[in-house]
Amino acid sequence: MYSPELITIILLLLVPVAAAALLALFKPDIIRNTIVTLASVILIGASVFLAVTAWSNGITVVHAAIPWLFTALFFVELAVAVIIFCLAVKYKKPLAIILAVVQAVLLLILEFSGIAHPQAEIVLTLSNLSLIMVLIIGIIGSLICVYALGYMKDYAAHSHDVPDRRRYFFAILFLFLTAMFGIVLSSHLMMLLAFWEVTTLCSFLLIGYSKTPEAVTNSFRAVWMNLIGGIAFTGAVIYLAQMDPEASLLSIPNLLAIDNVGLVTIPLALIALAGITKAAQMPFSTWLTGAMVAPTPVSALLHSSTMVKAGVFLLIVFAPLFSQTWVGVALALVGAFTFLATSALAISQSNAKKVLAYSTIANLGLITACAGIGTPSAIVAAILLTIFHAVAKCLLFLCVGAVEHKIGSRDIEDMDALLVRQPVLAVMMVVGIAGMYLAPFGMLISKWAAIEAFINAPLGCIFISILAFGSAFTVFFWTKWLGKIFMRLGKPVAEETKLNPSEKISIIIIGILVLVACVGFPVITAEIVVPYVAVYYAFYTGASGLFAVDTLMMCSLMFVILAALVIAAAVGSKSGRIVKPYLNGRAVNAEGEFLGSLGVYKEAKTSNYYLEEYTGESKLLKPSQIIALLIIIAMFVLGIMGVLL
Amino acid sequence: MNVIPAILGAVIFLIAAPLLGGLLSGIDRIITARMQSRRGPPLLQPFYDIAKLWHKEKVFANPVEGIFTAAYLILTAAAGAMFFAGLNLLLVVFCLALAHTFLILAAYAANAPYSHIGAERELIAIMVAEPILILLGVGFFMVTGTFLVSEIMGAAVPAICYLPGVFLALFAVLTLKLRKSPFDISTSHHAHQELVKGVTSSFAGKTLAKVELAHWYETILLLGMIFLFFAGCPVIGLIVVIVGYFLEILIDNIFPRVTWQMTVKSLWIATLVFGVLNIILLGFFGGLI
Repeated sequence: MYSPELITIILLLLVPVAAAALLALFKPDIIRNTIVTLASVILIGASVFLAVTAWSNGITVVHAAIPWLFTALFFVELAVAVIIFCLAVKYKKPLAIILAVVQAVLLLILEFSGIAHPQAEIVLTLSNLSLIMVLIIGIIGSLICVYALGYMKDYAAHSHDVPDRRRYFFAILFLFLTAMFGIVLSSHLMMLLAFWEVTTLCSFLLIGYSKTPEAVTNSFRAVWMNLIGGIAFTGAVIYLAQMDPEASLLSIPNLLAIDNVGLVTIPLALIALAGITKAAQMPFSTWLTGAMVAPTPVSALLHSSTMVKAGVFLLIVFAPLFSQTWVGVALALVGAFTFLATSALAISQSNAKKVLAYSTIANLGLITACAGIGTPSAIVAAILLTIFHAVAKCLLFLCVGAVEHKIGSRDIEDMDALLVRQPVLAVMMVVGIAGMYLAPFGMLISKWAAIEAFINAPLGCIFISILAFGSAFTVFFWTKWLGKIFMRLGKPVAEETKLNPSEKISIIIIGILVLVACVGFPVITAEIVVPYVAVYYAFYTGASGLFAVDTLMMCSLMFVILAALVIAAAVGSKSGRIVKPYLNGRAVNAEGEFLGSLGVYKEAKTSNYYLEEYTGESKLLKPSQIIALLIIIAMFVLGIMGVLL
Repeated sequence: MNVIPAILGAVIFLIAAPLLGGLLSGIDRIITARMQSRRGPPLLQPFYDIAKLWHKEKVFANPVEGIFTAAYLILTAAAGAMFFAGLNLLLVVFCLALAHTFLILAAYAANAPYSHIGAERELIAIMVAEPILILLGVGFFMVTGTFLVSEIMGAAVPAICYLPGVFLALFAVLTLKLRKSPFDISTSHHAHQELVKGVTSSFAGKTLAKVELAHWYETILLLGMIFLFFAGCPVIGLIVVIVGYFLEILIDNIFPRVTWQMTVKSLWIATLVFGVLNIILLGFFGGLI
């Protein structure tokens, strides 16, 4: 007899696969729309149902008897390596060929070296962290798929040189979701590894969707970097497997409960490396910035609910172990440094997708830093950052994608007066940007939680100093983007403001989710995040500072003020005379153009500061990568030495 | 938390800060004028200015200016009120940053080149000040174990004993926050700065009055932060605040041609050398002191 939880989990894992198979078969738009909508509704419903039943009944694990599962997963992993190998041969990419071969060999060693397979019964974890991730993947991931329906239709119409392979595209999109559900629900490392490899493959195929030379290059960059992570992960599994004949340490709860952490610092360092590559931390950040060649739904998926979140999920899961080792401190340093460097790099970018990409990497850096520190309050901060980042960043990507199709550019300099040209999208974009960095919204609350967590951490003062400068950069690049949206409001409304219904629904629902998550943060923290941390730290009862009456009061006050201002802006008096912009005494004509020195009237144009000479990629990227690489090497040295805190 | 003193503190701030801030601005203008061998305006000139601006015709380049500057004023006042109510210092800093964001957005929305450049430079000013303001909150937490201003005020030993570096760095950044230097960023009242009023160059009437009023609130809030270093010794604290403000005027008049590039570099070096070093030393030797 299957329990309702198990049935829901099976639904979550199999519905996307089934949808993928059907989507790969049928070409007509109407069938695709129906399948995607239906599958998304089922996934959203199932993930919410799973979370609610598990929380209300206090269920944390589910047992299932699937004896053939591990053999099947082995073949899946092997298939991933073979597909990557074949494509690498086809496109003549030696690095990817070598890494795919190494990965396959390691898998064969793992399979045939006589390491005990887990018993017939497998255990799925329903920890609060897993459930949060299930909700993020189920709701946000599905909404992105719905959004993709409208977006890809436009995309196919706009880009004639790219063959329309939408069947393939949607199939992989849904496979990706299955793999993500698998990662967050696994409680066994071998199972997790299999799904991990599938996400590498899916992201690789999606990045290369358009098959342009740039897409091919970037997809192979993504795959070789992620293969390094996969190889490190496999290495960690092999290391842990041979530690005892039962291979009991491959079970994540057993590994987390280990008495002598000194024995596992090497696999911990390997797992940290796997997390770093997947979460696109320096020096592996370039695969994620390169991934923006893919259609926007792919970026939204990679950045918000899948892929990079798998990386930080793994790091957060092992945070209690990181907290006891110097490996963790080094990992945290990689994250903090990445936060600083990529926040600065984001200043120099005017391409909206690139700014978003750097901001993602920066926030993942902050999460990595929290996970590496691994104290209870740091884990709380890491989980909050993960939640708020997922919703806000998803919203921003979806907006940028839709705006790009409407105004024909993704350059921030072209987004002036967006508020009158594309009102719905602009308002949602403002919500997303505010959600990313302003008080009293989610990311800022989480950043503040991170500050509290760093204060008591080893080397905490260094982390805080890095954070202080990093957030200064963050303020700079977000505010200048925000400013652009409000500029030149005299411009006429764009001819075509009507959004595709699938895009509109997804964007508005996620916009509402951003606000709900911000208002609901005390509940989320108290009811879900803190109990998760309390499992590993029995003494931990709550993030004190976050719940003090005074802080909640201050946040509410700011909310009330902002809400009152929004209302005042909508209903307030519109009296007053609108004049032409003030040009400090230059002669202007009726259109507000100024009289140039040759007697011609010209429009006065200014653009934002990008501080290229300080923060340009050519200045910062190389040195940052070298520094990050040195920290990673130090992490391995510390791992091999096995020093504990 | 004590509710009555908290409410009292907030209310007193909301009423007294504009009066004090206006007076300070009047004194500032007279002292500055004397340093430049001028006579200067009457003491109450800032109030006359505001009163006059308030009755001007409503004119703007962009209708959102009004609401954005209102947001700047209300949020600055709210940040100050929360500070003087004894609430969380870090959130006060964040609220102030939110307020400034609205000022910058208002300048952006005006859509004139001077105003746009002013907005960008104001943004740079925010960026320069942000690290030390965060370090300030963290520093107080490391010394007193709390972010609450009310509890920091009750500390046995004044925080200046542990945080001299943070104090110096904050003092350096105040030249920027009080809109003194550099000349190509600030919006103060000096003759040599009128051509480059930047961020406010497109505002008129009530809009400009609101920005001016918000600036008074902010000045008192920042001086309050300086005072916080001397919690427990109010007399010394007051003297330091007064001398400090005078020094800011002096610095402003000695370095009238500092540009924003120089400002970013010098203030971040000050933040790194004094602020960060102070925090790191405190982190490593905190237990020993």
